Amino acid sequence: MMTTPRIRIGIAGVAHGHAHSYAAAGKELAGVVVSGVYDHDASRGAAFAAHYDVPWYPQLSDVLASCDTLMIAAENTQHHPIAMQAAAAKVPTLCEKPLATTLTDAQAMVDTFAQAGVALGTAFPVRYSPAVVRLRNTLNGGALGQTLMVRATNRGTYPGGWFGDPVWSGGGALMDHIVHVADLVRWIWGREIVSVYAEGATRLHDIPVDDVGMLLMTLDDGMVVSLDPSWSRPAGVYPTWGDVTMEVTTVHGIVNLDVFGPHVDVYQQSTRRYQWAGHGVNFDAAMIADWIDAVRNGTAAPISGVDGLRAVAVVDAAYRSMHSHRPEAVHPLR
Amino acid sequence: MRYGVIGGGGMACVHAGHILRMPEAQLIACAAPEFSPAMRALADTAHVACTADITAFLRRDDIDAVVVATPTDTHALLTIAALQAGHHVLVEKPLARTVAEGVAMLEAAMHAQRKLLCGQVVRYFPEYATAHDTMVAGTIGRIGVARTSRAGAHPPAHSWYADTPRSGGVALDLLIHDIDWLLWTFGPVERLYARSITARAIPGRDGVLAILRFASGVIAHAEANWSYPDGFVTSLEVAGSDGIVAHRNDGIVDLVLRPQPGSGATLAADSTAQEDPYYAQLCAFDAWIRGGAAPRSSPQDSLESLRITLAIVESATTGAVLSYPVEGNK
Repeated sequence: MMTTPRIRIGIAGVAHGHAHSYAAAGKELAGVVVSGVYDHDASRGAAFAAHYDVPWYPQLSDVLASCDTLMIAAENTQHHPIAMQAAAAKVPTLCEKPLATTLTDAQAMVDTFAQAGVALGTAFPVRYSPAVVRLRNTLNGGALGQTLMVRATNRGTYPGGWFGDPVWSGGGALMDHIVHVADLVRWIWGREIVSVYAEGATRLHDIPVDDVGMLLMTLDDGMVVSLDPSWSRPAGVYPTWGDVTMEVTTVHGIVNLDVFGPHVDVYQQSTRRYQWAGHGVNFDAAMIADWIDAVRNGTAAPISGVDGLRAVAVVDAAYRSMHSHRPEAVHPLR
Repeated sequence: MRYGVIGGGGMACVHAGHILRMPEAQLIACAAPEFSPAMRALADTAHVACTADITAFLRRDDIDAVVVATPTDTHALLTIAALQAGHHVLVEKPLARTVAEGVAMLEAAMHAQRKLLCGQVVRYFPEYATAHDTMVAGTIGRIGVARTSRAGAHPPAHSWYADTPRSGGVALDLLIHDIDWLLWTFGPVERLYARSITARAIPGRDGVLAILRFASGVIAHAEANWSYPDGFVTSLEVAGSDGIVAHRNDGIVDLVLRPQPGSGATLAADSTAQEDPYYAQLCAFDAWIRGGAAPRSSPQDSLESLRITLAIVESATTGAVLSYPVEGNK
C-alpha cells in the first residue's frame, strides 16, 4: 500500500477554540493541509474558512469526502452526530473533549468506530505538557513510592456563548472541566476512577448550567483525588484563562504541578490590566502532530475514544452524585 | 489581671511569653507535669513559679485567669477544674477531644459564671480576618466556591500530636483552623463528605480532603496535610460572582534578608510584634474579662468547629455523606 505523502485534515465545527489549532497545524505542520471546513452555522464556518483561506462546505459529507482525517471542534452535543457520520464514512476522527455529553452517546461512538475498524481519538492535549510527562515518568520511576492523595484544579473563566446553553454544552463547569484531570489521573497513575462524590451549583453567573463544583474521586487502589472544576476565574480581571494544577502527596515527597505556570507578567496601562504571557510548550501542536503520525502510519489513536469514554463516565458519575448527594460508582467499561 | 498557665510545652511557652509582655497583666504561676527547657528558661527569667502540682495551682486565690495549653485529651478535665476553681479560661484549640467533652466545658463555664474562650486563633490572623471582612462587606459578590489548605510536616512519632486518641490527629490539629474560618465566614454546614489517607497507616504521613456544602449554598474544599517533609504552607481562596479573594503564607513578606554564609547577619527584632495573632487573641480575652466586647469566637462557635471537624473524620472513616438539618432549610 502506498503511503499518502500529504494528510488532508477536515474540520467539523469551529465552535471550540481548538479549531484554530487544527487550522494552524494545516499551515505549520509539514505534509498537512486543511481540505475542508464544516459548521452547522454556515456564516461562522464560512468566515473561519475564509480567515484561514481553506475550502468551506455546507455539508459535512463533502468535508468527509475531502479529507484523510476529521477533527471535531463542534459544540459538545454535536460531537456524537458528527462522529457517527464520520464512522460511517470510515474517516479516522479526533474528537474534542468531552467525547460526548452522555455515557450512551460516548459508548455508541466507541462501538461504531470499533466495528468500522476506524481510529477514534480524544483531544486531551494536556497529556503533551512536558511537566505532566515528567510527573508521570517520575512516579513510574518509583522513587517517590506510593501516591497517597492528590489535590487537583482545572479552574477557568466562564467561556460564555454556547458553553452556558445546555442544548449545546450538555452541562456546565463539570461537563467542561472534569475530563482533562480525569484523563490525566487515569494516564499518569494507570488506574481507573471507581467512585465520585460531587457538589455542583450555579453561583457566579446567571446561566442555566452549573458554574462551580467540587469532586472527591477514589481510584481502584484507594488513592484519593480532589478536583475543583469551577468556572471561578473572573474574566477580564484574572491574569490568565485558568489552570491545571496538582499537588501530589506521595510517601517520599510532595510534587506540585502547574501545567500553565510558566509565564511572564505583563502590566498594560491602556487596558488597566495585569496578564500572564504564557511561554510553555504548545501542547495542541504536539497532540495534533502525534495524531497525524498515527493517521499517516495507520496506527492506533495515541489517546483513544475509550480514553474519552472513561472520562465521560467520570462526568456522568459526578452529575449523578451532584443530584443524589452520595458517592456514585463510575460505570465500568462495557 | 493575674494569669496562670497550665502546660509546659510549645504553646504554653507562647502564651506565657505574651502574658509577660501584656500591660497590666501578671503571670503568677505555671503548672505542668513537666516543662520544656524553653518554658523553664522563660519562667526562671521572669521569676514565675513552676509546679507539677496542678491541684495546688488551681487552689491558689491569687490567679484570675488560666490559659490551658496542654495535650488535647486533657483540655476538658483541666478547663472544667479551672472554671470550678473560679478562674476564667483560655483553652488552646481544639476545644476538646470529643463533642461531649466540649458540651461539658460550656456547661461548666455557665454554671461557674466564668468566661471561656477557645483559642481558634486564625480569626486573629490579619490575613484571615481581612479575608473574612471582605466576604462580609460583599466585595466579591455572591460567593460560589472556597478553598483552604494547611500543610506541614508530620509531628515526631513520640509526640502526643502523633497519638491520634490523644490529639485527634491532623484533622483536630490543622483542619479545624480552616473549618473554624469557614463556619465563621459562611455559616452553618448543610452537608459534608471527606476522604483521608489515615487508614493507610503509613508512619509520618497523614492527610484529609473534605468537601463542605453550606446552607448558604457555598461549596468549600478544605485540606489538611501532615505529609510535607518540612515547612508550613497555608492557602485560602474564595471565588465570588464579582471576583476572587486569595492568600498564601509562602511568599508574602515585607522584609527578607539573604545573609552571606558565615556572616551571622540577622534582621533586627520586629517592633510591631503586638500584631501577633496569639497576642491579639489574649488581649481580646483580657478585655472580655474586664467587661469589654466578646472575642471573635464564642464557646458555641468553637464547639461547632469541633463538631464539624470530627464529622469530617467520621465521613473520611466510614465513607458516608453527613447531612445536617439547617433552620429554614428543612
